[in-house]
Amino acid sequence: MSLRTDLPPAVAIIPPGGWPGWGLAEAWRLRSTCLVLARRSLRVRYRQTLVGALWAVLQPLLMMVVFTTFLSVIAGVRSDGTPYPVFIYAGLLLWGAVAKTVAEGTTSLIAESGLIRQVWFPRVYCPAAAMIGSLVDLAIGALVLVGFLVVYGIPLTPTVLLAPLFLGLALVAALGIALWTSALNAAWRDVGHLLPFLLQVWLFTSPIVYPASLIPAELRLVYALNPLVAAVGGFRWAIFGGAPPEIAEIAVGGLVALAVLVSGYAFFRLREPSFVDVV
Amino acid sequence: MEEPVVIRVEGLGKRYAIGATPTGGGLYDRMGRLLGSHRVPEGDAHPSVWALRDVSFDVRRGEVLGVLGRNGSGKSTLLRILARVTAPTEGRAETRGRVGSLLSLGTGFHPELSGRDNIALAGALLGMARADVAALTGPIIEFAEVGRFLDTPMKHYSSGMYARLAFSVSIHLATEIMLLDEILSVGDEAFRDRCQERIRSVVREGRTVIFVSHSGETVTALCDRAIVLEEGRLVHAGDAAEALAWYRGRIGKAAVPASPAGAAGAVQPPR
Repeated sequence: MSLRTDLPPAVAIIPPGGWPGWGLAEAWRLRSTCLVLARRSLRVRYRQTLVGALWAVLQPLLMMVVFTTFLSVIAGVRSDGTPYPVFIYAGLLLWGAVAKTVAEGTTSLIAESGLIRQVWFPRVYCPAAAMIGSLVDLAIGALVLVGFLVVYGIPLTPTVLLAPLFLGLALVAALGIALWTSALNAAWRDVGHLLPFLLQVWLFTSPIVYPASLIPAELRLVYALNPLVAAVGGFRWAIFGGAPPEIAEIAVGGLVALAVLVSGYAFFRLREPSFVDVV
Repeated sequence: MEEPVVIRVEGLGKRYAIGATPTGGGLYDRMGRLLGSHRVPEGDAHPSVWALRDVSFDVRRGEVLGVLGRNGSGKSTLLRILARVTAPTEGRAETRGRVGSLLSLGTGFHPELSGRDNIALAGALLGMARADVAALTGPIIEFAEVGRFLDTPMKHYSSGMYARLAFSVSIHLATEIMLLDEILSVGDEAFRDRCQERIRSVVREGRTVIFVSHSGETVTALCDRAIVLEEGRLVHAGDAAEALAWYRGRIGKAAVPASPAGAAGAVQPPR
């Protein structure tokens, strides 16, 4: 056992008030907490289901069938040269990770209330663990995407190595929003009730089930304020090829995502001392 | 040479609102208040209670400090603040070193997880490397005598097994400061004796213990010094045996409910 023989630095315990600091050094020291929390929620996620982790594949697959039927077959939405089912499956895969990060992140503080009321740890690991959990589902779903690529005879190019970059952009935005919503939801559960609606709006204002080329060119930069525009567009380009994403759109989306993350974490830190009394 | 102070508590206080929703109630309550409806009490008019008020003390490295007091005297609030679970309302505290807490039985244990996973979680919460925690798993389960159930979800544990594992985890993991709350009141006598023996040995290693109890014997058996809390205030401090004797005399007298004015002051007008 590694007990310190020198005198460790003093940790001050003071009444909340004012800016508590970013707390990054301490969060880094206790980083394995995040993995333990993620592992724990993964282990209970598909408990008492018949098909288990298969749900990670079935969810985007079923949505793919629905949207292909209604949007592609009936409404005739284009998909920029890629077969619509694969086109939309890739989008839904990314969207699934975003939606799960936000939805599960929002309730994560309440879900971990037992732990929060008993031990101290950087609470940011509750929503962060939700994000890691969503990545595992995404990895499982990606295996099916590879199968689609083979079936449809779409060759992979080296650009696929850039796909994680665009996934990262989407997750930065998702975690940023989850930081806002989880801190708000801890105090006001209204957020949890409002969220399914907001996620629907976000889904349809992002080029998930339709291509971004449907948006008039002069509105594209405004449209790109939604970080998922660059993220999904870039993600699809990395996998399917075609027209590369506009650098301006990536810059705009990236800045917005970063702003959401930093402001979300700042807000989260301000609210952190109150969580124990409200979850 | 005198050992350095590793826990310093200065004027610590914690106020809880009673009956109020922490976030000020829903929109209906707020509108009712705005419209002057008498049905809804004014948020600020909610009485509040000082669970802890103006408490100050120091603990030096390698010391075992007993905290005596009846239910509701503020013992648990004190530990919860030192464990950083809840923030104080006023005053400050300083701790030097990792703080391991056993605030209640199985602090931080998740009932759906196995004993092994819970040990890993406890280690991660202290910032220990996974390999170090894995190396300690053997000694932990050996001490707790739960070997066969290591991979069973803890919700299936008996309360005795739960308590033994909880104690074993907190005493084996690398913490310079241990906060123990009433833990030794569970388990059979043999296990209690082993716990006490174990606490003495970790103190010899230079660890510091705050030990909360409302019974007496374990305090004199384990502690060097003790403080007595009453309605959130520190009313006595001294050598363990002497403090216990004082506390016992006090309970005897306090059997008559009215406590002397001044020493109490639990319900304060809101600020």
